[in-house]
Amino acid sequence: MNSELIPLMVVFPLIAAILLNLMHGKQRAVRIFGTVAMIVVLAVPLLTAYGSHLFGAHPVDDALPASKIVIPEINLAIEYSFAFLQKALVFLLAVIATFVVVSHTSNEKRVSGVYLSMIMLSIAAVSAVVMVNDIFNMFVFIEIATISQAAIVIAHGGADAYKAAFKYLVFGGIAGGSILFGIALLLGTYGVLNISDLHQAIGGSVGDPVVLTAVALLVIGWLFESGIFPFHSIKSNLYSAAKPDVAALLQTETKLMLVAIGIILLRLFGGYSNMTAVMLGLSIATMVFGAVMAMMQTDFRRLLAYSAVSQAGLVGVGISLGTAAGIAAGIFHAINDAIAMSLLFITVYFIYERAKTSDLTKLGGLLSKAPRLAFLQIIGILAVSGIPPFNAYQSEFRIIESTVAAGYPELGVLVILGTILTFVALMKGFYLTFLREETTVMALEKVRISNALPKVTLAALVILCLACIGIGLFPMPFYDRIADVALNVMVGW
Amino acid sequence: MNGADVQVWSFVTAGLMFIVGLYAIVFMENLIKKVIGVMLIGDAVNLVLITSGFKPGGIVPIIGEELYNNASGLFQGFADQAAYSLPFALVLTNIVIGASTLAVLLGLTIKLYQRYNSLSVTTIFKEDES
Repeated sequence: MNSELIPLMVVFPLIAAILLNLMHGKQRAVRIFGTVAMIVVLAVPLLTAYGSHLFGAHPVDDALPASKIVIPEINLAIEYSFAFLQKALVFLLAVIATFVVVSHTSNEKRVSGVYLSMIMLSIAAVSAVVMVNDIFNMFVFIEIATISQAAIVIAHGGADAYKAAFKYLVFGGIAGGSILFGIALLLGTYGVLNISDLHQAIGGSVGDPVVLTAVALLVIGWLFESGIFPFHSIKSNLYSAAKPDVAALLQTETKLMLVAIGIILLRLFGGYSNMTAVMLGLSIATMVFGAVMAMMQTDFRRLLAYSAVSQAGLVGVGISLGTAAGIAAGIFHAINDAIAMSLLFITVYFIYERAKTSDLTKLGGLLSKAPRLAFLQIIGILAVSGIPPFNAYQSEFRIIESTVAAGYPELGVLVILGTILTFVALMKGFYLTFLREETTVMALEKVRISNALPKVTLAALVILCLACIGIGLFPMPFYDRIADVALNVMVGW
Repeated sequence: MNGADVQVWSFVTAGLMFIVGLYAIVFMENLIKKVIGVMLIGDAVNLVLITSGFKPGGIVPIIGEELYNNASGLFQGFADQAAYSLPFALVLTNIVIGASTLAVLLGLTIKLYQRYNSLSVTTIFKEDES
């Protein structure tokens, strides 16, 4: 275990992205290197010791001896922090990304180096956002994540993918501009970019109009990156335009960014109650709109996309409460939901690959053809809907508990209603796909869906199922360590 | 116009560019104009950063060989006069990011134009609204 490996979690995927891009067209090389790269991406967070890493500067408070140059006490380095939370988030991202990459290299006749390169780029960017302790680097990697996510969707091809990516990039431009504007205002006011230094400089009070403007601008960036209202439809468009396996990766990345940027905002301005109130209100709106919109969809991919957005709202509710219990529950739910939602997206990916459609008016009668897939999907639905003994039950219960403890019992009722709506929407999708009789369209097109799942798909689904059950049955070792992280978020406020 | 005025007018210009960019994105019908709007927002932020690093009557923030050899003690005088260099580094990074975003957006615009034979938002996004 070596904390010197911390930068590898960002640097290695970046180098792999460049190499995969250069290898594009060389099928064998892309296949082998893509697989090897994912093994490294999976291994690095497990082999890395907790700690922090400074790039190209000096440790905090350390002045250079025998120099005429004054080294300020503030730390001017780019800093990555790596603790249990970062390890869990980066590893989760690596697991989901591995499935997408291995699924591409093993199932596709022609593998694309550029496509895998963009996946690597997004892994590097999101890992950096999770670990970074510097707001400008946060901005840089948010932008890289936005571009790479759009590129992954573009790789799917088709007008819908192009339109979704165009919208995503245009609104991403507004959000990115807002974040950098906010950073510029903070830099102008305090002269530092390091989050710990800013936290000290702000010193527990947010009253200056310039800083208030910065808060508003940074919150706009958080809303976009998290797919929270009013940007919820942009994210759901992106998920539904992507291949379902890629959507699993995208929604995981969104939840990781929601948590990472949310924690940064709370560390900087957590005591500013107007900010948390706005974040909470918009998260509630996202949770409710997402669930209602999911109910109305007639396409399984869109239904899942809106459900994922609704769940992001639920994570936002936990984090925006601003209490240690709420933050811990929100982080826990982000991890649980990313796992359970990925399970659902991958089952739909299999259906979409074989049937070439996810239109619920055309699907039907798949239970007799693929009972194993139906079983795995129902586990995903129960897990996302917060039914015991699955993982999301543990986190949703804690979110409800923390809303009551924070003095908002009515919010707890809303969370329960949102969860019920999500369950009904997902069961609608399950019923129309598996339980009702085979439709004429399916019969005419002779869709070949068998019980024999490809090995990669089956392995991914089983791993995710076990994670749902395992965390559901034994949440405490995991949750306790997240709760420790949450306790430190609001220190100083 | 003195240095302080330049700074104030730069901020005003940046604000106007941001608003014009936002207007183009929300209300303009043509895809290219929307792309220009995105770029205007990026440039407005760059202008804010450059302006925040500007120091009226300041000197270039580089310690040359002559200055280093002749200085006695710490460089406090230099630090007081030099422009703040960090924002310029941020602007350089943002320009690179802006160029990448612009390339992808223009590529998508070409693809959408080839498909719909139009750059009109109403034509291209018609199906999404129905």
